[in-house]
Amino acid sequence: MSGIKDTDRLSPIDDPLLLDGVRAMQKNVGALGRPSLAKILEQVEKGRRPARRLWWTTAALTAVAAAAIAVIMVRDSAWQQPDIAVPPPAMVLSPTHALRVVHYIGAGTAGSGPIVQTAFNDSLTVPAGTHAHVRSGERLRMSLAGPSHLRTDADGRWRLADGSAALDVAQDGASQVSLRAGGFEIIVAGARFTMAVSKGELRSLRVESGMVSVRAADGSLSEVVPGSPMGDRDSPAFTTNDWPDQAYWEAEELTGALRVTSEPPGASVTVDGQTLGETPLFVRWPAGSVSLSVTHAGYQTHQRRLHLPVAGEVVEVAKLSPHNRAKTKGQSQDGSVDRLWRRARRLLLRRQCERLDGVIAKLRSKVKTPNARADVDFMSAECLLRSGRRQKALAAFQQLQNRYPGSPSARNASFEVGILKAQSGDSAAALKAFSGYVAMNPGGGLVAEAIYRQCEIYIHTRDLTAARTCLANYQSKHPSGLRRRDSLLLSALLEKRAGANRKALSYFGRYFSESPARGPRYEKALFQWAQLSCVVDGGKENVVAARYQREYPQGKFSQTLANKCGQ
Amino acid sequence: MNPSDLELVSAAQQGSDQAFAQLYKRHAAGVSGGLWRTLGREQDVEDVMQVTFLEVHRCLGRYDSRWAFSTWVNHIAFRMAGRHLRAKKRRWWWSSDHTALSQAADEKAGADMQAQGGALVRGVFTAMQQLPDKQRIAFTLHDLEEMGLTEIGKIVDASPQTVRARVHAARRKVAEYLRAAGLAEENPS
Repeated sequence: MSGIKDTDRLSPIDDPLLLDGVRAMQKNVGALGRPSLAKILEQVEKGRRPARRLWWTTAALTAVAAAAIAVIMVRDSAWQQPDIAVPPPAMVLSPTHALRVVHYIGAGTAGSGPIVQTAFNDSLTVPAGTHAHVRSGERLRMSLAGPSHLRTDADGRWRLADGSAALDVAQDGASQVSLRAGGFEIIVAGARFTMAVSKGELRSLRVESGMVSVRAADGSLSEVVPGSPMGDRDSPAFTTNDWPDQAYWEAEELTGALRVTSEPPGASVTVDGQTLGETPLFVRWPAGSVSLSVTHAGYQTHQRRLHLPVAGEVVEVAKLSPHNRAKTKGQSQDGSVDRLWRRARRLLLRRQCERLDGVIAKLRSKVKTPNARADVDFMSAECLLRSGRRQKALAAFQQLQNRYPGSPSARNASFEVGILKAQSGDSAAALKAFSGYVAMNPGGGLVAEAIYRQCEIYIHTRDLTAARTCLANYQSKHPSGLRRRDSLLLSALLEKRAGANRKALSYFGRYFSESPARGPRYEKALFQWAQLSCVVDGGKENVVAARYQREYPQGKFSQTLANKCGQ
Repeated sequence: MNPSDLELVSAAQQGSDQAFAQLYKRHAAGVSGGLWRTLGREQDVEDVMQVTFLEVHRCLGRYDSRWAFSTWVNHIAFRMAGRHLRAKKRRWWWSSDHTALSQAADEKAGADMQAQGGALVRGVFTAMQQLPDKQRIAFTLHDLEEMGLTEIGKIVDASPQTVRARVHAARRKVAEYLRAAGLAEENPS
């Protein structure tokens, strides 16, 4: 621990009042309570100790009383096992990426091997007794309902304190896993350790091998080594006042973003052997070397090996070539088609729609398949949209849907129709279009966005019940979706409005644990959280209210909050 | 020439009451100061002191010379203080009139303290009474007795990091109590 290496004492007391009190106490020395030596030697002579006798007396009385109570309870049959079915605690794992469960011991099944594998953006509820394996570079988020204890055992498995569930976290000497929660951060490098977390406090940390560094909220770094535990039951090692009801842990994000588009769109994207959806696609994936494959019926497969940097983004544009190229005459024709596609794409990016129309007319005459023709029409409509001609764009997208139903472009067009209808205020048509998109593209890259847009429409149309259901659906199906923060905040506000204060508090907690960006919305949300927390948990010493006052001492809600919380 | 603690311990181990008396005279003041600030009642301090030095006498044969004698005595004293506090809580629980007993004890302790140092001392003491025993002991030894974290760790069987956390927590709680009790206005520094 850096502080301990430098000095064997804590920093001096900086609180003037406490310092005065301590100084006054220090002056308060006297020869009080000092028994005479003769009295001690007399006791030595007698060979007995009064305190020990008192202890035995108390112990005997306690035993007699306990026995009496037990007899009464048994006689009256008052001591019975409660007839309440306690559900096994389930741990919800919401990984950004595939979470592979390598050992599954539960529901009468035992074995090893990849039994459960989640799809991208999916969440997995792990029943009690499940062991999960998370590879280095994967991101793990654990949401533990209520004050929970989480620790690693000697085998390096994460385990709930009651032993009901465990996770294997693979760590090697080189990798660093960083766990953040509220006000402290734990940095692990191939270490085995046990820690107890309760009510937002890191109660204790005991290291079995290696070294664990703990960075407190004030930035100070402590190093904990074997044989030198930190904290205990009575004295939390670190207090994180701003933890929500749910203990929330998140490993450091060792992922990068991958954006894949293709010409033509609608191609199937496979990354490291996993099919993730159709282009255009945006995914987060473990950083490092990835193998990308883009396939489209009738086109040659586009394969690349890419390096995905941590927290970086790689954009891959797959220009797919048709399979059956004519050997002589057709070859030149396809070559000209490719050139036309490239030219059209350039004009689209420049929003030169008039010139694009000319290229598109040529393309229409050359492409034969319905899907390719749909792609051409999509490009034309997209150009209208990008250049601000929304009504014309809407008509073009709808025309495309009618002409080429079932084509990938028609499916993507339904999303665009949804957006345009929502903007024009036609909520019913927008909802229908988004629903159609979700139904037609279960693995599509814009499904999460479509669901979120539906939720927003429900809120605008004051259908709050549907909105709550919709947001819950979004959060469960797309826990890592780009709109997760917004959805959590909306849920919190909706639950608050519906009077479900506890639920609302939980959502607020989750929202703030996502480290949202500071701004007016952040401040207002923090105020609303604090206000609700004062109502539910009481205003005195309310940690959320204190957090608001700390972050916005001169905030516009500061006075209101002080009045509401009685601070 | 004054004999060292180690020499006195050796003599006391061989049955010399004089050597034990010298050890007592040398260390009783230091131990009782810490206990006084932790327990706050003259009677309690006397009880714990008595039990402590009885234990010291009994365990002299097991004294490890790698420890400073004062640290070893304090280790025993605060173990005994913890035991005393637990026993006191048990007695309180078993008594028929909890509130009256508790109030009487607090008033007595507060009166002792106020006689010695005024409202601020009483405030600090009352705040310390509300701390968990371990935090109270760590706070006393570190901030009032000005011991180092390592030595306190030896006394209370905890790592320096744990002691550090306890002192931190205790400081925060005591300061919060003093403010809540309105002592900030009475003592503008």
